[in-house]
Amino acid sequence: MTSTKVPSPPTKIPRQPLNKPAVQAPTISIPRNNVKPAWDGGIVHTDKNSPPRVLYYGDDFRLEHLPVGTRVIFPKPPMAALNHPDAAIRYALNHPEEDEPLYAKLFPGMTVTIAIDDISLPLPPMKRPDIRERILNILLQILGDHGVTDIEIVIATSFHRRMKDWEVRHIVGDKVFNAYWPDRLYNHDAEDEGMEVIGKTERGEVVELPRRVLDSDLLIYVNINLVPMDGGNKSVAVGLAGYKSLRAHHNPMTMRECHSYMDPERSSLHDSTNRMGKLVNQHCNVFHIETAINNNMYGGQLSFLMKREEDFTDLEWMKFKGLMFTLSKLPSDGRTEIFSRIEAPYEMIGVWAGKTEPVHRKCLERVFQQYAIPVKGQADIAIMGMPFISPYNVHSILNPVLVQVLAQGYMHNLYRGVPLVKKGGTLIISHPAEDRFDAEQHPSYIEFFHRLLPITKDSMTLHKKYEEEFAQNPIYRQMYRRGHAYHGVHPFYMWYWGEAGRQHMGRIIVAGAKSESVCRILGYEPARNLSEAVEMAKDTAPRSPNITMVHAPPILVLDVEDPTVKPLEPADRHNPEHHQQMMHRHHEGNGK
Amino acid sequence: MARAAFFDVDGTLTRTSLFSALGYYIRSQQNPLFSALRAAREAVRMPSLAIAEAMDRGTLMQQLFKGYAGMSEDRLFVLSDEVVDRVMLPAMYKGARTLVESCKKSDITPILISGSPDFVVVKLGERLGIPAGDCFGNRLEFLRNVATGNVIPPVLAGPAKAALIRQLATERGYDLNACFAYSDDMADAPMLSVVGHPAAVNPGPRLRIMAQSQRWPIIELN
Repeated sequence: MTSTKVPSPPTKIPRQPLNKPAVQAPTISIPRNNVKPAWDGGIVHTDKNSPPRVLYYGDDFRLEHLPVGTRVIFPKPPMAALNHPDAAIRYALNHPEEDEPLYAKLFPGMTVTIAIDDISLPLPPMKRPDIRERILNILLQILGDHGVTDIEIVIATSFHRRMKDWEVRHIVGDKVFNAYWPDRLYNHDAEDEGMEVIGKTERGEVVELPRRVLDSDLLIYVNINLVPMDGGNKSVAVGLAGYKSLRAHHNPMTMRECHSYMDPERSSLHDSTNRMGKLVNQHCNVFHIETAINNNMYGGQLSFLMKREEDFTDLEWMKFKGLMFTLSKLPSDGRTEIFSRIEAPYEMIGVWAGKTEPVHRKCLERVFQQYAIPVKGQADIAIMGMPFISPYNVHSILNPVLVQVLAQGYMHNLYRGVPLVKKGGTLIISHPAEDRFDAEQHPSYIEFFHRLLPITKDSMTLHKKYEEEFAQNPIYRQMYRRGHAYHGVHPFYMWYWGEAGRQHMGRIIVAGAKSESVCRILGYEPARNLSEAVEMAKDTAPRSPNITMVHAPPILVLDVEDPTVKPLEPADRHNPEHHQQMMHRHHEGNGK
Repeated sequence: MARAAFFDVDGTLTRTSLFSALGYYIRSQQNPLFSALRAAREAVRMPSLAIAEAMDRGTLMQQLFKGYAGMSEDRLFVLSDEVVDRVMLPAMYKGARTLVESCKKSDITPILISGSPDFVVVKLGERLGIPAGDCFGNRLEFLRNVATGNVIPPVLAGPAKAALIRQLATERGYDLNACFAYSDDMADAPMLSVVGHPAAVNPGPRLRIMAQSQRWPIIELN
């Protein structure tokens, strides 16, 4: 006879008095029987009955009560996946956008190079089979059927780190890996002697590509579009480029003129890569494949992180408390290890193939369907939790420079129209901001952070005075080419990517900062917890500030409308000499 | 200001050790009997070499170089080409040449500073395109063209390498803060410490721990 265990009811958690001010975890109070606020296109206004909010805190979480009246913006729920992704891929290859079908381009004996996105997409890495594996399996079968044998697959890392063999196996699958790695499936090397300059755009931007790509009869690019910044001409013009090309747009002047870089229509970066893409298309026969995925970032035991706190069940609150308890008992490296094992159950919601620009247009349309949230009015104070991951620290640590790029770069730029935070407003981020670096992946970040940032935080000065030194540092170059390090110049790019946010924000306050010196070096203000950070932010805010929390990730893009603010667009669109003028002015300023 | 990159050789650029060159000379004696006798003598000296290594790198070198005693100067010089071509170059790490080339590309003068005999280091420098004036090794003492087995002081190891780097910086105007140093061994910690850009190359456990604590870059050239 077997005995049946009756599950014990969840532990009762006493309800917190409604008039209690916002408190800092670990004093967790979870209101029960609370009234569900009205759903308004992903926007919820906090009232006295609202539950505490889950905030990312690096490789940990915080549960925080927000001030009454705080506007909370939630991402859209994940869109439905394509029922038959393999069939959809085949359909896209046979019915391309403004191009002939793939099979019509193939002939026996031709040379084909396939470029794929690297480990920075998607985030966190997705569960197997990765979209790239699906597409590669189909592509290689079609190529084989048409007698094409000279095939190489290059991982378009640009200045990112080389992927490790097990990471490559994860994204391309066992079959492709066993057949192609390492001779015909390899990481791009932007420092290779085989990089060749193919020309300059009308604005003088140098375009260089690997010899193998230029010698190929066909270049097929396989993209995963996680955010609207990805894909399009940027894929080839950045992913397969070298320093001469990258410096044309990865500089403070271009980054200042992105409003935002998640809105390609108003991004100077995309203007530049589009010009480069036109030149690339004159020298290469490019067949572009773009895929859009939904925002289903967490599955399994962590699926509750995709929900609003109002919808958490008792069991999910217990799971969350258990997770926080476990994380609180682990050292930093243990937490990093746990988070690096998360695999996202992303699903494909669209796939297109053909000419780069029409394909990208279709893909962007679908991406914005998933991400875009209409928001009325800017905020005086924005609150954002900084997660454990960025495109530049997969299986690694989110170091302080990357915290900066996540806050002032990516999170600030998640908008179309006008930025979420008013000009001169305050951004509160939730992160421990510790002095932790990964010496294997981010060696030059350590020198950048500890040697250069204490001297200057000015992007222009860093660009003009120090960038070349790091770009040519033989140690960093070696670690990029032979090890698994980001290129020596990469921390500069990260600093530039935060440039528009840096110019826009008045203050950045780090709630829960553990290192005052890290905050000081970044130019941020430390606060012990969110309540303190909000009080500090109110000092420089209007009397009744608009406080907004962005409940991300999962990813969203804010379509912010504010009748009092006019959306900006890149200044150099109407004045091609804008960059040169800015540089000239900067030099004069330095001279004085 | 001018910049230089100081490279240790054995274990850093090549898989060889200080014993490799001596081993080749012993194998290449005039006849096999001489080789066997010398090999036997070295085998007997092994415990003393182990003790010397435990004391410090300089003492080890002084002990090790006694193995050259009795070899003629011309033989040592002539065979140095073979030592480099047959022992050192085949054992060179895949990324070593790229690293040296990368320095030259960035206008950084590569300089070899090794505990191996200077005539071997100079020949290796030739193969890497480094002029003899930028190759430093230990100098054997010769008496009537025969090696005595003594090293002419200072013995190029540990702090002496750091002293040489400082001296070169003074004489040639190198900005030490902008200079680079590469080594695989904890014994070279002084050499790594005097420059602004040190790197541990294929480091042993002790140097790896030190590099991690000092946040020096770690390069794997394999």
